[in-house]
Amino acid sequence: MTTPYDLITEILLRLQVKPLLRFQCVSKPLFALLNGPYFINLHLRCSIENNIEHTLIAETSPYSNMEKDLYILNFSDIPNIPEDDHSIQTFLNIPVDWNEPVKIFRPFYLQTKTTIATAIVGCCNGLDLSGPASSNRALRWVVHWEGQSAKTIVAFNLATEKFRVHALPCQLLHSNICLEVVRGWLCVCRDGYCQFNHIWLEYEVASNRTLVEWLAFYNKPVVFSKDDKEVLMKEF
Amino acid sequence: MSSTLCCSFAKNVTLRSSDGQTFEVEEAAAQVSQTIKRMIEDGCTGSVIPVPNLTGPVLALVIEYFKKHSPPSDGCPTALLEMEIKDWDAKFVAVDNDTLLDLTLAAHYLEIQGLLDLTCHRVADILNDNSVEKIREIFHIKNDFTPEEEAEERSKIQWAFE
Repeated sequence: MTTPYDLITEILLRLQVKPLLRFQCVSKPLFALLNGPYFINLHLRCSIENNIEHTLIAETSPYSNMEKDLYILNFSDIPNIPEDDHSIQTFLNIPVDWNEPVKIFRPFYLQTKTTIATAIVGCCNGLDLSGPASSNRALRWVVHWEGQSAKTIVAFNLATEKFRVHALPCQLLHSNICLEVVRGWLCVCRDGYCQFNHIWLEYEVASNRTLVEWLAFYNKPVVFSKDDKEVLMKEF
Repeated sequence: MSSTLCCSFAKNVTLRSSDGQTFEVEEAAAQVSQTIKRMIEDGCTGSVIPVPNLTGPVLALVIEYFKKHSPPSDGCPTALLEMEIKDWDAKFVAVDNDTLLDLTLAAHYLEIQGLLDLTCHRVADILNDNSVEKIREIFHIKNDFTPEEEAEERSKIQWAFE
């Protein structure tokens, strides 16, 4: 007899990140379930209630031109999580400590009561390994690295739980940046007024990864494979 | 199996499994299940309450759970009693995988939140240490990925398999 999927959901909600990721490969319906917003939200809620895993990474203003701030939210520091999701905003003023080990969650967005939108780019129950800004076991953000004036790409390695820092192409210092992943390689896009008009793609040169300017787009930020059959990167 | 010890004022209900076995149980104990509680409140207690999703052996186990978890007649449960119940619970779900899943399904159908939490946690503990293949086996899930698709999905999250 097959187990109904709502019951499987009940069980999977109690699992930690790593086994959940493995179970994506069990079947297509299970893959869809684990990657859907319904399950992700439930799992996050379940993690908060049961205080299983403790860290949430959030950034403010994901779509605006404002400088982004990253925050780490440590659930164990919060005695009572209010039921109202929006009030999560009130806890966000915790400074980032990059030395803290963190777990990664699929990015999703919370529209808060204030005008600032908050994007959760990383969290406890880490289902995001194929989504935006993740590749080769790492999630990456563009941030101001402590003590440096320039923006930097910070990568978090899911396997080792360590942070790594990438330098940005110098042309990008004063632009808005978007990170994508094409075929497992990091791709950095510079935000034009409407479109992303420069793309840098990561290449490996003598076992060092470096960013190489690749193509410039003005009106069509879509990248196809050489035979034009496959879309490698869509509009953002 | 169908006889139940009860105090003089306790009201009993009769439950019937999918294979026709009947069990008599105290009404208060059976109301641990929200589904049965609703049926009793709706006035179904005159006759036998059918439980079509559960076979006799599973229903018998669930009734054991009812008895252990029925609200105590003499007020608040003591800490000692709570510990005893916790021990009992742990032993109760230390069963083979098929029985465990049957109990999980039963808790789901009968809306027994405590039993559902207990069994789901136990299944989750088992799953934590098991492979993708084992999960398919436990849940009887058919793998609908092609070998190429599965290999690709696995390669994306290689670290989770390490």
